[in-house]
Formats: sequence, structure tokens, C-alpha cells
Amino acid sequence: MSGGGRLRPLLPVAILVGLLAAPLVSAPVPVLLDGPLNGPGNLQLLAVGFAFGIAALAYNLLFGYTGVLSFGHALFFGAGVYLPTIALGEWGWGLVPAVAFALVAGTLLAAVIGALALRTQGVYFAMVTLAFAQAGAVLVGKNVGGLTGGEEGLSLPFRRLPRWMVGVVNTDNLYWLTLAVLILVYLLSLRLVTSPAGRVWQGIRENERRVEMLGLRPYAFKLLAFVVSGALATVGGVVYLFLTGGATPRAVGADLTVALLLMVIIGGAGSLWGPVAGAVLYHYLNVRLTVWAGSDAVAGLPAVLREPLRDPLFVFGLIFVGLVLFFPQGLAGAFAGRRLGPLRRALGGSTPTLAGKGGVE
Amino acid sequence: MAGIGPAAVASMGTDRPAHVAFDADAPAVLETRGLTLRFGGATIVDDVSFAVPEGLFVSVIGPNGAGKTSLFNLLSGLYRPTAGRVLLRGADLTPLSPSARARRGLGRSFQLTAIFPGLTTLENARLAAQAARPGNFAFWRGAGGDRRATERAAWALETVGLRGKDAVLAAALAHGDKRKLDLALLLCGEPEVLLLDEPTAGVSAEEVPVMLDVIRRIRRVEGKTVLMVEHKMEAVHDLSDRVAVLANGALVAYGAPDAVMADPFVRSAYLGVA
Repeated sequence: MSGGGRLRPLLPVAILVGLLAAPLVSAPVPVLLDGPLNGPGNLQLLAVGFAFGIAALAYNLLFGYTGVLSFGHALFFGAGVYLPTIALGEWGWGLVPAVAFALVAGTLLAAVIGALALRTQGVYFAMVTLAFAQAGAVLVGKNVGGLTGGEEGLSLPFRRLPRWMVGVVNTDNLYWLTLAVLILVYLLSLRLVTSPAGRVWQGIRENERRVEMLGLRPYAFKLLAFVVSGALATVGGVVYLFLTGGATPRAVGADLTVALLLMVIIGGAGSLWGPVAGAVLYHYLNVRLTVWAGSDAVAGLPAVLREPLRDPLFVFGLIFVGLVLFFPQGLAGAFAGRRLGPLRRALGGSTPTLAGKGGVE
Repeated sequence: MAGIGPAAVASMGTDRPAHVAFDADAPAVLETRGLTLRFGGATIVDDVSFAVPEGLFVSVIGPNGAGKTSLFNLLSGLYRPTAGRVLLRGADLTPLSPSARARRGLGRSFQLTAIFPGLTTLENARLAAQAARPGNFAFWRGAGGDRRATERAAWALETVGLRGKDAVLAAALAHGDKRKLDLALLLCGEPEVLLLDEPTAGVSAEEVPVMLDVIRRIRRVEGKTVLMVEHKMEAVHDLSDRVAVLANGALVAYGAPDAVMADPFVRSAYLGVA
């Protein structure tokens, strides 16, 4: 346990209670959100952020804890989005088998791709994972086999879903469902990174050669991390599907992988709550900046400012550069002041001494 | 040829021998037979055969470029030999990977410190202790529950004199302390044979005696078989039961420290004394 005041252990509990209670709170949140907090739009905004949070936690196990940079994680997220839709709509399966099928298939996909890609290292590994993911994106985009709906995507066959999951009036149910899955994945991640295997992952991140000289096979541990990470990214995709009600090719695209990487970096690689916060912040900015870019305030500016500001990615890029410059260890690093991640090496020898036990737990 | 004394010196004059055997009647823990490494046309390690008996401390000396670190890389499996074999208690290690050799009890330290910079000193040692025990793949239970690994880690840190710095990030340790941590990681693995590659390299002058003390303690307390590459002759003389001299990749002398250092060939070839 580290210092930081006696109330500090209560902070996560307070945040959790606040998030659980959000659908019951009709008070407005001025400036940050439009309308009451429990309006369907606002709950949807938060819940999609949570779904990305699940995927970011998954990505973080591989990137933040094991030090392995994958450029193909959108493929597993996309499997979670497309496979249940196809199983429900095309094959007429029930909800539970469709979801179970997606999870098993996503896990197997991760095992096969991981087993092949992890034969290479570093940049080559990133390129091999990118190649697999792009192949998946092409298959989806070209509507191979007539299953994916091509560029249009597919919408979820709502008739096959239980009523509590369908419609704007039930957004709070989906919100709670997503939050519950997020909490489960968070707890699972906590267990994983403090387990013997999780310690080996961190050893690989810090010095793979030394792990090998300790008598362990880094390949096997990296594969474990890859499979777990792929499976959990699939979970994130499934939850995202229920929130958005359909599958579009964006869910398998390379942009999504980059977004996951950004979420983890913004939040703080090698911390657990950081990537979740990073994912929520990323999604929030993405949505709100788009709204803001189309607002009268921007339209009234001179063209030099107006044109770049109309592109949300431009503004987001500026914010990202600022965050990385001032908080190189992400939000988690900014708050804890002692977090360690793959970015730590960039800081050189200025690493602080730990006051408590584990810096990476 | 058994025992320590001038008789144990195998000195070959200027003509290098094809094969050297020694301590022939003591049971060997680590043995090499005709170990050879060539890169292109260059012979880096040239037909080296030796046998290290149980519990002895053997120093490998030789001028820069003599092939000492290459020999260690062959022993620990980082290089594959062009010819020859490496045996541990008679079992052939030659086809095995570095990690498989480590599991068999061959521990290796590096000339360049190899630690986990972003983990604390205690976490470094605990990971090394955990690695030597079963259950590394367990991802469903906590790692803190393995009390024996934790005890082993604490003991290793104590042995190298790092107790009290448990919570310090390895990256923040002074260089000498990093070298000590490197040794502690080695000890955590409970190796049968320790390969120490220049343990005092880069250690400040004041810290060298401390480091040698640590090695002496490891040797006395643990009674392990040790192979050490070292340049500091006082350290070699002080610690070793045997000294092996490499020159141009070949083993040119082997024996008790006094005898080897008195050997005219060694004195001219390595110590630079006419």
C-alpha cells in the first residue's frame, strides 16, 4: 500500500458506486454532457467507452505488461462484433450459443495467429499481426461468402434478443451489463498480472533474454498473454455489438488497433485503471469533438482556425501530444507519480524510488 | 594429474596442443570436449577440452579477444559450437537451448548487467526464485503465495548484501548494486554450476573488494562449482582453485593458480612478463 491519504482506498469504491448509480441520476452535467446524466445518449456514450475499456484492458495485458506490441488486435474485437451477428442472423442461433461461439472462435484465432506471429520479434511481429488483421478486414469488407454485409455491415437481428436488451428505453440495462463485464475483466486482469505467469510477463517486458536465462521459455508466456488478450478483446467486441446494435467494418480496421494503443498510452501502460480511463476519455473526446467541430462557435472562426478545428482528429492529435509530453506515463502515471510502463525507458535514469511494495501491481 | 600442484599444470609451450585433459580422476560436473567455434574463416574457440570437478572454483583468464566470453556463450547455449560438446554431469547439453540448460542447473551471469530495471529489487529476485520452481504458468492464483520463492529471494538478497533495498527499483540502483543484484538472480535459481562473466566489470575501485567478498561468500556458503572470467589477477589468485588460460581461442594452460602464474609460457603470453 502506498501513501496518499487515508481516503485514497475509498476512491475506487466511490467511483464504482457513482458509475453504478449513473442511470438513476437525472441531474444534468453542465459543459461536459448534454442533458441529464441518465439520458440514453449519455449512458450510451459512457457504455461504449466501457466497451473500449474492456478491449484496452486486454490490449494492455499484452502491450503494457508483457511489452509485446500487436498491430492486429482489432481482428479479435471484430470477431466479437461480427461472429455473434452472423450466428444470430444467418444461422439462426440463440443468444448464448452465438456469444459462446464468438468467444471460443476469438480465442482460437488468437492462439493460431499468436503461435505464428510470435515466431518473430519486435517490428516484424507488429507487421505480421497487422497483416493478419488487414486480411481479416479485407475479408469482411469484400463480403466474402456473403456473410458480413460488406461495407454496409450487418445489423443485429433484434427479434432474436431478449427484450430487456433492445431499444433506447433499455439503454440503462445495457449500460449495467457493460459495466458488469468491465468490472469482471478488470478483476480478471488484476488476478492475471499478480499471478506467477503475470510476473513472468513483466520480466519479459523488462528483459526477455534474462527470463530465458532463468530457464523459462518466453515464447510460451508471450503466447499465453496473446491468447488471453485476444479472448478479452473479443469480449469487448461482443459488448460493443450489443451497445451499437450492429457490425460495421470499422470494428476490424487498423484504425481501431491504433485507437486501442492510444487509449492504453493515454491511460498509462502497465497500470490497470489507466487504460480504462484512457478508453473512456478517448471515446468521449472522439464523440464530443465531432459535435464541437460542427458547432456555431467553430463556424464563426477565421478560415485558418476553422478548417483544422473542424476535423476532430486534428484537435484530438493536439490533446494527445500534450498528454504524452506532460504525462509520459499516462493518466495513471500522472496520478500515482510512480507507474512503470514500456514508456519508462524513454525517461532514462530519472525513475523514482518506490515507497511501497509493488510498482506494477 | 590429480590434486593441486605444479604437476597439474598443462603447459604447452608455443605449439598449442590439440587436446588438453586434466583433473582426470576427479568426477567432473562440467566438461567440454573439443569445443570449437568458427565464424567464417576465424576460429574463435579452438578445440577446448576441460573438465571442472565438483565444488572447484575455476577462473578463465586470457588477453582480450582470447575467446573467454565466446567460451561462456558456448557453455550457456547462446552460441552453437561448430564442433565439440558440452556435458553437465555426463549429460550432453550441446543441443539444448539456454533456458533448458538453465533448468538443468547451469546459471549464467553477464558481463553487461542483466536485470529487470522496472521491477523492484525484491521483485527481481522473486521472479528468479519463482522461475526455478514449478508452477510458472499458473495465471489463476496469486504469486505472493509462494513462500519458498519469497524466502529464497530474501536469502539471495541477504547473501549479496542488498537486504534493506527491497523496495528500490532496480533501475535506480548504483552500478555496483546492480552487479550484486545480477548475482542474486543467479543464486535464486539454485544452479549447480555458476558461470560468472567478469563480475567486477565496471565496478568502482572501492566496490571491487565488496564484490569479491560477495563472491567469496557465495563460494564458501554454497560450495558451488564456479567458472569465472576475470581480469583482476589478485581476485583470480585469491578465489581460484584452478586457473585456465585461453589464448587465441585455445586452452594453453590449466592448473593451480601459483603454478599457472609461474608458468613461463603464461607469463610471456598473457601476463606480459618476459
